[in-house]
Amino acid sequence: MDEMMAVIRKSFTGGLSTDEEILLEKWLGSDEDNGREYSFLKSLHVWKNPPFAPDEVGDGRMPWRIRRLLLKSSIETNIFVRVYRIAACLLLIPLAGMLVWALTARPSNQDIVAMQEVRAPFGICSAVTLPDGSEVVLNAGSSLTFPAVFDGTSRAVELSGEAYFEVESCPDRPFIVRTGELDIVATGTSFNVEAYSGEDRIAVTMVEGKVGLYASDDRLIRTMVAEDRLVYFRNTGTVDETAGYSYRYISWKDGVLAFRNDPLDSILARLGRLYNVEFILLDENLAHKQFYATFNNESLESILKLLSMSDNVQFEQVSGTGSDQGIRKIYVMNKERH
Amino acid sequence: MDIVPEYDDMVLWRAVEQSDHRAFSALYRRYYRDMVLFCGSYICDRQVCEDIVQNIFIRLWSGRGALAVRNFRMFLMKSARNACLNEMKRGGVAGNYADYVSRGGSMYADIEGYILYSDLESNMMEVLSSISPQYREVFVENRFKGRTCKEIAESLGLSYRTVEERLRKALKIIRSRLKEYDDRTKR
Repeated sequence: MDEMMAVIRKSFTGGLSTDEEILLEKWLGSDEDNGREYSFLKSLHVWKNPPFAPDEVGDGRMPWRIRRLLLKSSIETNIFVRVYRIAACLLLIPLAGMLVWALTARPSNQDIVAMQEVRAPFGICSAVTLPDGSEVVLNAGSSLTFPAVFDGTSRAVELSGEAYFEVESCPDRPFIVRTGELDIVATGTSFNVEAYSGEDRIAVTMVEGKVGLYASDDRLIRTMVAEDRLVYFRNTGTVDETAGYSYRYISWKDGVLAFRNDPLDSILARLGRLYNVEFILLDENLAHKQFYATFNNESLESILKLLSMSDNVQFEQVSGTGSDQGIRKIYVMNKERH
Repeated sequence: MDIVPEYDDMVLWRAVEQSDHRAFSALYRRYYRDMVLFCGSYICDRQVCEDIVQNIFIRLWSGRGALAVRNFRMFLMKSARNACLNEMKRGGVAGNYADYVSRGGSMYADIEGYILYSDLESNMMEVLSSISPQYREVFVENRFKGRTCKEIAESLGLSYRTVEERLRKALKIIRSRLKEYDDRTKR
């Protein structure tokens, strides 16, 4: 046995003599099980004497050449999926209508401008058509306040949260999105504004056209054109323009959640608003873990499943939460905890 | 409530056949490192091994509707093995074991009992702790400390045949236990 083991061991590292080769072949041929034992010994050998450090091997993140391949095919195959998605979004419009708090506008009294507020509750995004025909998609947990009738000189709306705007062109009546610290002034254009109260940043992503950003003292901060993206920090009043445009910032309006190496804490914040759940991070090291993923109209369960499949993170619902016991809470922790 | 069961390989592969790239990346992540290390048993160059495994995954994706995959891991290992042997023939990489295989060594003798690196990493300790100490001792001395049966027999005061027999049995038991773990978690 020792002799055979020595030959087997030698075969893993190379340099078998012809005699030894014959010996090995005989042994393998003498019993069907010997082949399996041989490969088992080989795996033990690789485990104990790896040919190169296992940690040096890439972490399983796909290289660009493979990701590009996947991307290409998803564009080809997903056209029909997209059509369904848009249809699903349209179905939400009547729902949004039900949520409108319309204070009955009486045109007889021109001095009182009736305001209405549309709220997209947590878990639902809503589509709104404004009095001038502009289209707005409100992300979950956001609200938009606007007059029942726009006056002659401007069209001002107030946003808390995130919304995607497609503004009807009308150069002499600028369209203004007020977010408290920042006013976005547009004529005809498509853009996304993210201004959640309780978050320091206000992010504006341009798709088409041109907008001006004004501080609360009416000072012009920047003008932005198509494909620009800018983040404004409320506390410091500073601006970060390094973030480039990407579909991922507006994909939510099509029901697509796109994460591009985003840290887990920001992913959880978005998922929490979208699905109306509260995440409780038990292991701080997870907050900065990055994920690369795209989800099309998927249930929270399947999103969490896939996130946990791709990394060392697991989710567990806090017992006694959800349905009639108030907001659902979910623990987020390292897999080793179990 | 545990809401994150692992999908098994074939469920993911069926999804890949329907062009689901999330399933594809899940399989990629699951097997990438293990496959690169498996290739390392033929070719000692990490970069070459990584390229081989990436190319296999590219071919898997491009051929997703047309490949007859019955056991995903087996399919992957056979592809990896063949790619390595080809690479060695083509590039004249210093062959060792491959010389023997390419000269007609038993077909896939090197695959069937092979346990992937991460499976050994996560299950070996548990398996070892579950077998009888007599077998465990012989196995650990021989496999991990590299001592021969003769040396072990001397130090334990046992006959050579006894040690030999225990080692044989230990290998068999451990292999089948590890296999059980595999079959339970992935297919």
